[in-house]
Amino acid sequence: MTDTENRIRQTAEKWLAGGEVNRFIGFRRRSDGTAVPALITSPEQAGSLVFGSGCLHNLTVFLNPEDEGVTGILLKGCDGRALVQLLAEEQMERSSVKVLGVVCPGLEDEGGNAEKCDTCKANTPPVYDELIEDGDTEQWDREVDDPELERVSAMSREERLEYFKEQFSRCIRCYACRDVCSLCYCRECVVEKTVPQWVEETVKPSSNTYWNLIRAYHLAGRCVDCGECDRACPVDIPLRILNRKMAETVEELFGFTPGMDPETTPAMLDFREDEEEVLCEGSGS
Amino acid sequence: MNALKRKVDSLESLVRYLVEKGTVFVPEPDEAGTLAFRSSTDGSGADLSRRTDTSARELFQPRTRYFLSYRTGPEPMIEDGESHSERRYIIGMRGCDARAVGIFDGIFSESEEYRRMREDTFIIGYLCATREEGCFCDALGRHPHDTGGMDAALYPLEDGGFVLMPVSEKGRELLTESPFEVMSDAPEPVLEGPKPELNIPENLPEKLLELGEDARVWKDIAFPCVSCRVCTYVCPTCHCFTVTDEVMGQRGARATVWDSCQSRGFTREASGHNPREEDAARARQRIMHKFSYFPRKEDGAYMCTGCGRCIALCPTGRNLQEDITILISEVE
Repeated sequence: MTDTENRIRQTAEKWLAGGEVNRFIGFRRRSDGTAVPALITSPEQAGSLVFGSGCLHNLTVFLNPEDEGVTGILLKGCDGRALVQLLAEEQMERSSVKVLGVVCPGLEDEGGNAEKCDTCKANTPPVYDELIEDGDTEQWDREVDDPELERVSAMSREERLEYFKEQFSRCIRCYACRDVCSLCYCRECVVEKTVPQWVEETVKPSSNTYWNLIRAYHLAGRCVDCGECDRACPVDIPLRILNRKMAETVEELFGFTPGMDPETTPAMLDFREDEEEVLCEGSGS
Repeated sequence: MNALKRKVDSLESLVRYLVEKGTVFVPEPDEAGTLAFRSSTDGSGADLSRRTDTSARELFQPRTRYFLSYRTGPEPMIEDGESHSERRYIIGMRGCDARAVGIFDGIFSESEEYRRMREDTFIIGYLCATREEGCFCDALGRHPHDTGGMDAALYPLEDGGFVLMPVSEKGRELLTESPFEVMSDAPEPVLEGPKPELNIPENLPEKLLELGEDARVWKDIAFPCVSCRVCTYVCPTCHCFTVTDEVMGQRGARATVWDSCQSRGFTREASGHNPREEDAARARQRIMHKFSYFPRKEDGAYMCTGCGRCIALCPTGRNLQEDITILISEVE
């Protein structure tokens, strides 16, 4: 057990025993070593909590605004950004969540260092009630050269559409990308509306593209790059390329990075008269 | 029996032989590395080293099948969708996948189209050399080298070649007319990897039913589930589908499309009422169908072949083996 794990267990135990939270969401390890999300409701269970390699899941997806009382939750920096965005979009009451933040050292997945950690913009969650820190608390603002993102960025509009159509042709429409996304919180997703049916249910390149682009647009200026959709996709569609490209565009146009500050109005909820008309036909590439 | 085994020098030579007779499918990665059954003309990209990421389901139940089209207006018409069948050879399906086709054979036995497609399909299975992460066919009373559902089976030789052995009458005929040399001294197939610890008691289907839908354990099991469809769409035995209409002015078409009991909308009724609104109810349905309802109807046969794909690909780490272990301790 690491020192961080020890402090997570102690804090969760204290919060549950003292009635500060009704439940606590963190990670546990299965007998085969796999880290999985865990929900505990009594202080005795706190000893099962872990943190480290493989704890990639964004736990904010398990926050349910309808749960009674207060939910305690362990958040890494990227997950914290998702919570900030949820708060900014008024999807959660701040008082209904008690955040145990952890200064994330960067995590490993099966293939070594997780890719999303290479471009981490916040390894400390921007909101927390208690923070487990380990000396270095300077906020990360990482960027790496991503040859694939650069290649896609350099494409013409037409080429880029073709590139993504090709990627989406593999989609099996399991909707795992949406279901693991903390910010895909619509009660009824457009893809499942039947009256009228906006997106064809048949699995084919045209409807797959339509579905994936609708989801992408709905996340423009909102996605915090937690990387969960990309990790969840069973057919390895490079969804982070799409989301990062959009985040880059929103940053350029509006100077907004989602999930950093709950007091800043998100770009897509804000309108300013002097805003450049950049999103209409004929704009840039 | 042994005398009928034959030596195949490489997968390529087998594919090149069969491609003259029909369409050949092999496990092949796409550019992103996803291993799935894909048609091949020379077998050069085939990879038998691990289980495919997606099952062979799509070859027996297409994700999307338009089964009729129509036109309204002054000259209305309705016509059946395409329903052609072709001779197919599917290479590399493992025991769990071939067994799953046996389950499909029962479920779709009323479909003439399915029967025709099955008659035209040869399954050349692959006997696992290793048990893989998450797989547990042994726990279901089966063995990785079971050949049920296969027409013929391959297993690897140390020199990089394969033994090709007949299983069904269809497979025997195929091998007899093939140019591959009879191998009288073929070694037995090998198998590595520990057996899973899971032991499923015979009365599990009844016990699960007695557990009832309000048992707390369903909630506990369901916790990390986000109601996506990955487990059901990579499963070789899941077969639920929906019917969808696509209308464009006066023309329209009707198709069957895979559907999943794990999605929230699966049981939503026209009134808006949803009998399986809760995560726990959906988690229960998947397990009950596979480990209680189906075996109670089908002489104890589980609607799970232990392939382990749902475990390997669940985005939130749900584990069917773990779920079953928890349920067993709950009902005992």
